[in-house]
Amino acid sequence: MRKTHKPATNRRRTEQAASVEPKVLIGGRGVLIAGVAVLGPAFLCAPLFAVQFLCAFLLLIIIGSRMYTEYLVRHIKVLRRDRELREFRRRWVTVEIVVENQGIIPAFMLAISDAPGMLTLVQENKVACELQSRSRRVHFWKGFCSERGVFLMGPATIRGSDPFGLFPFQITYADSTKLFVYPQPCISGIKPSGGVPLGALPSHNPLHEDLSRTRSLRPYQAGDEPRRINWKASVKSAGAAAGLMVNEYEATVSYPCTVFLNLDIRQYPSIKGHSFIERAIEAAAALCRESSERKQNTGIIIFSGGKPEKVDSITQSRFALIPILERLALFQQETRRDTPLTADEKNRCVGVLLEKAKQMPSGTRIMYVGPDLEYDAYLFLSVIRKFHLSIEYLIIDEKSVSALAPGNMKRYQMKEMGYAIT
Amino acid sequence: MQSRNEKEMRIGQFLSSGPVYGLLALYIPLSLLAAAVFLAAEMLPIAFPSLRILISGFLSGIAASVYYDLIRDMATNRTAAHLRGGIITAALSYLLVSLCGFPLPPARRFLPDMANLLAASAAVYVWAMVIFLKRIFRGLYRFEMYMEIYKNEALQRKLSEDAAIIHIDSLDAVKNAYLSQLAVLGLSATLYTAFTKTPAPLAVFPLFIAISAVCIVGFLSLMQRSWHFASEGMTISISLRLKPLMGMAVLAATACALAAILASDKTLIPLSRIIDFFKWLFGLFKRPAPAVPHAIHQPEPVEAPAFMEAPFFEGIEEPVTWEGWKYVQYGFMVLLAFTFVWFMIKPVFERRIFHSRFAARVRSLFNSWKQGLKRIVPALISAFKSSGVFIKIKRKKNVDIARISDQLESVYSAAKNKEMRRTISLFARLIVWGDEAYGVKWKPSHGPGEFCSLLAAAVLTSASLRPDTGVVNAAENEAVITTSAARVIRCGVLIERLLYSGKSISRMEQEAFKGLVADITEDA
Repeated sequence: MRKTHKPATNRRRTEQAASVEPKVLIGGRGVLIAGVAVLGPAFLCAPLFAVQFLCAFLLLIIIGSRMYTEYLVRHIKVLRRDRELREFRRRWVTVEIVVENQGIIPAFMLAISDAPGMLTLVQENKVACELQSRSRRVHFWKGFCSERGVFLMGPATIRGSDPFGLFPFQITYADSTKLFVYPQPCISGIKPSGGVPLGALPSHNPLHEDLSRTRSLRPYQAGDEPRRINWKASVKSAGAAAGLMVNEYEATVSYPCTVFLNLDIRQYPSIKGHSFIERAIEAAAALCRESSERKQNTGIIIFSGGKPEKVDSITQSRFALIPILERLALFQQETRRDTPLTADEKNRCVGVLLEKAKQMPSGTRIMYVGPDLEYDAYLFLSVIRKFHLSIEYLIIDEKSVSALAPGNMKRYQMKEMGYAIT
Repeated sequence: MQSRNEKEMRIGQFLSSGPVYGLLALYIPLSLLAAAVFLAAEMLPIAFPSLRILISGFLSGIAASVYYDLIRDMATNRTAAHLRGGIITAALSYLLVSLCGFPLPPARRFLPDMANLLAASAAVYVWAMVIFLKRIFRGLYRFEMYMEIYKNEALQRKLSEDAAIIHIDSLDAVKNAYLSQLAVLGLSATLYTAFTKTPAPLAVFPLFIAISAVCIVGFLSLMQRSWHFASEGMTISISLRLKPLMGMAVLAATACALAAILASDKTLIPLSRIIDFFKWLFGLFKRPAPAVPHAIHQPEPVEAPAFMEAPFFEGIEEPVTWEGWKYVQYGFMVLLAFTFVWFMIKPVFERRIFHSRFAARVRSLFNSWKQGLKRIVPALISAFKSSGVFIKIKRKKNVDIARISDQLESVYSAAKNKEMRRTISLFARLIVWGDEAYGVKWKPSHGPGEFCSLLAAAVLTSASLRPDTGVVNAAENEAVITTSAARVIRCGVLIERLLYSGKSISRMEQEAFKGLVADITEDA
């Protein structure tokens, strides 16, 4: 059964008032000027009741409509429910805006629209409604996150008019909502092996017993260590069945994980490079998410290559998932350069990985995600084991690769598409 | 109590199939004509033939409205037909008013005078305005129809596909024309009362026309805004669209009350003071008059030299006029007259006016009016009844089309539906036409081929039972009827191929099917 993944939201939902003054456009200026200029003198100078009545009627309609519009534009407000939204790729995101009429006159037939930004598939981002006096309306619309990245949605626009349609207005609120589209959720299918004692994950290996976590009591058996005997429990149970009681402890293990993501475009194939990079990003996100779900310390190092060399890293932490996913959402692929890759440049990512590995805590599990490496690079990286670290490879390549890399380290191959990475 | 949805449905049906826009198209030009006639009668010191002009305009408006309803679905260019209609209407009005000129002897009645010329002009004016307005309001009718059936993206797609809807954008031209003509009339009346100092007894009637004009312009602006919003994909309910009318009514009533309080028969600022002010203002920019000298030596006048007195063209003889020139003029007039006569009688030779298709078209028009009355009158009656008795309203043609389309579309996959969407709506139109014209009802259990066979049989049967309507050539008539039946059968074959074939039909066949349905439903 597929897990449903929901991005963590780490803020209370409060309506955010507009921080920038709205831009207001009111039409019909010519009608107002012409109306007042012609009808005013006609009303003042006409010696006949009917003519004065007609001029006054039209003048009052024009001035009344203008006052209606001016009043409305000062009392209609738009509030955004969320300054930032987070959603995974290929999911629908719901955006909420609140429109308030703070005035005492109703607003007839308003058109509320929110610009979807770079989202191409949207539903109901425009709606027509009316607002009674001192009322509000919450408008929801949905957008489909087809691409990974960071997008701005907005501005929101309110269009309306007076009842006679003489003075149409448009109010534009420049505030926007930032949408982080995380990589598409996938499952890696890679189960962690090894691990270091004393962690958050249960283990069957008695060598990983955590003496701070008592699990249960059992009767003493020959060969048990004396220091395991729980004397208090043994005394209490002496009446029922004479015998000593021994503590049992939970065996736990932890798998601190650091993902090394190689996104140097020149090391990827020329034709499928961009889609492979997206797939590698999805794989890295899947690994980080699975590690975080197990309450393990997770970190990431993103190597982009180029000159100057770009290396972006987030140190291991139990709460590093959101920053990692945001960093992956922010990553923008570079255009491919035609300069050939030198041998030094090919192995530069290996050098960076080794340098970073020296700073990692003991027992860390390093996952290399990216294109296949040279034979020598694998051998070079096998020295990581000296630092009590383990390394596994998750490769994306057009050719199939063996399950064991040179140096006898595990190597997995990514599928080019699909929900399962391997 | 009627539910809110039922009330909204009734109002929507009233707008989409009721006489609202038809009456508006008549009212606007007739109100302008009435205001102009009234003011002219008051301002001119002669006996003005107001009644004859108004009756002539009214009859011309009715004729234009019926004429447009008959030809509105034709795809051909109708400018020449409108022109012919206007000329015929003007001539008929001239004759009618001339016949009614009783004080004059019969021989002198038909001579041009103010009454019959003005009546003919009024008839042409009303004819042109009604045609112009109905063409634009047809877009509004179709807009109302789509608003009832479709929502959101489907509504946006339908509005962009229908060419008649674009005319709604011309509502600005309607409003400007209406208001500018009213402004000219109002300005004329104001200037007349201001400069002649003779208070014209302007009655309530022109004021009513002016106030109603403001409300009508507001209503049209409202419909235009609704169309703009709907074409962006927003669904707008009837209540949302009509609530601004309440705001309009409140604002207009308040303005009327305040204007009645503020207006009086005395000028607040006399006009003479304003004229004096402007004289003073322009006097500031006037150059001072030059000073007159005390003594000026007047020089003796210089005589013109002798050679200047001789005429310039002396010695040149006057040109001799060519005698054949008058024959050229007569020939031109004859050619002009012949061209005019040929223009007027050309349709008689191109099309058989008294053909059975025309009779069927008239019959179809009266059927639609009858059905509209059957829907609207009970709705109006039930709206006024306090007991709130619900009267079931028969579904309209457009609702039937949507219902049949949904039934047919729901059987197939999304990809197939996309291809069939256009074609099925055309077939649904054929079904509804068959029900109206020949009483052949479609059931979901009928296959398309089966239904078309029944319809073709009904076409043949009704042709054989119909009395002779004066067709010139009976054999040709029979050939036409047989061709119509064959076209119906061909429609059935094409729609069956579309529905039951796994592959899509060719573009040519799609176009052929579209043309067949258009020919069948328009020709009858």
